[in-house]
Amino acid sequence: MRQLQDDADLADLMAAAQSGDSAAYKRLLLTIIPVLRQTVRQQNRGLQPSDVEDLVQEALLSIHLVRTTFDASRPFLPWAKTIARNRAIDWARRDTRKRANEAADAPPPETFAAEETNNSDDAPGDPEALQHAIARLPNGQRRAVELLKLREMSLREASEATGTSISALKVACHRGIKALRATLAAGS
Amino acid sequence: MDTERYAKQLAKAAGPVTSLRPPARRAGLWLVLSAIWVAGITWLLGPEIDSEAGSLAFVAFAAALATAVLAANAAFQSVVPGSQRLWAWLPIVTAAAWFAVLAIGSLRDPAGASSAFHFDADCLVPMVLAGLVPTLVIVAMLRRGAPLQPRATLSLAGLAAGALANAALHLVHGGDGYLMALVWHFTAVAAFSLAAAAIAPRFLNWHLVRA
Repeated sequence: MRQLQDDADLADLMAAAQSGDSAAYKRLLLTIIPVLRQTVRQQNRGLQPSDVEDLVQEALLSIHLVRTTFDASRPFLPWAKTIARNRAIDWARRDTRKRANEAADAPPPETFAAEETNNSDDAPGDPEALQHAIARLPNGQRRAVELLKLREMSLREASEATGTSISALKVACHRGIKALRATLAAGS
Repeated sequence: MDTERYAKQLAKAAGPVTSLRPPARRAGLWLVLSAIWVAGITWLLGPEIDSEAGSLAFVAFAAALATAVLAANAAFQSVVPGSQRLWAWLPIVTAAAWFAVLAIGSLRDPAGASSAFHFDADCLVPMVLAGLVPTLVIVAMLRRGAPLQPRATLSLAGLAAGALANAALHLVHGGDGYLMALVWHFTAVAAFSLAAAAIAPRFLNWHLVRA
């Protein structure tokens, strides 16, 4: 009975989130993080803690992207857990493919010897500013950066997912990173 | 990044969204739009209903239509997390019934058997025309859901569009024999459904979903 009540509460929070209540949405997402951790651990046994967190964040993003598919008249947890399990299965497939096909990436097509491009200051910086800067990139560069750097896909996987050649992806990613450095440096 | 912090950022960036209609209603909408298109193609090509066709022909038509309806519903159910997987099996049952009816008809009434294996563009063109727009529309509608099982989803979508086009073909090419219908119509639908499954990840995957 308590579980039903909890699920009903979560469904109400999600309905409120769908209508734009960001406080309800924040409460919902924070509440389900432990559930998502348990779900991904059950789906993929033996995960490292860092991989669990990566997967949970992927599940949260996926929940966020497809929140239009939630029907408030139906239970929330089966909906959320299905998404988490699906992302966990995808992760396991990617991991298996990576281990089977691991090959060192060729060096990027352009290298820069100039001092200003070899900045060793790797402080994390402002994630929001980074997000905005990524959103402002041209489509091809943004997609390359998202797939290769944020989602850490291999070049082959990203090429298959987008239909773009590996060499085009490398160039787009390199140009995207260069543009991001310039934008963030100008911002700071 | 810390997971709790990431969750807060997602919540901060989120705006209101419009929930998708229930899968059955979306499937119904697709069927109505597709029926209008198919009716238009049928009218343009000129209906050619075989008035001497027996009840078995009607059963074949009904089985094709039922397959289209159930496959469409199953496709829209498959992009909603937590939906019952049972939905995906129903169109398989009606497709099997459709195949069985055509097979029985071929054995009972082998009229046109000698030409059944000859390629006929007069069959293919109406089928492609009738199925083209419904295919494009259903893929566009399905991309608004969650790409949980892209291959299964697009296979069902291909089955729905193909079966609907074939149901229309019964009206345009009513005189085709059962064996010809089995060899060309049913096989074309099955092949289209498999081809859709093969290319599905290019059209339905998480990287293409936008909030």
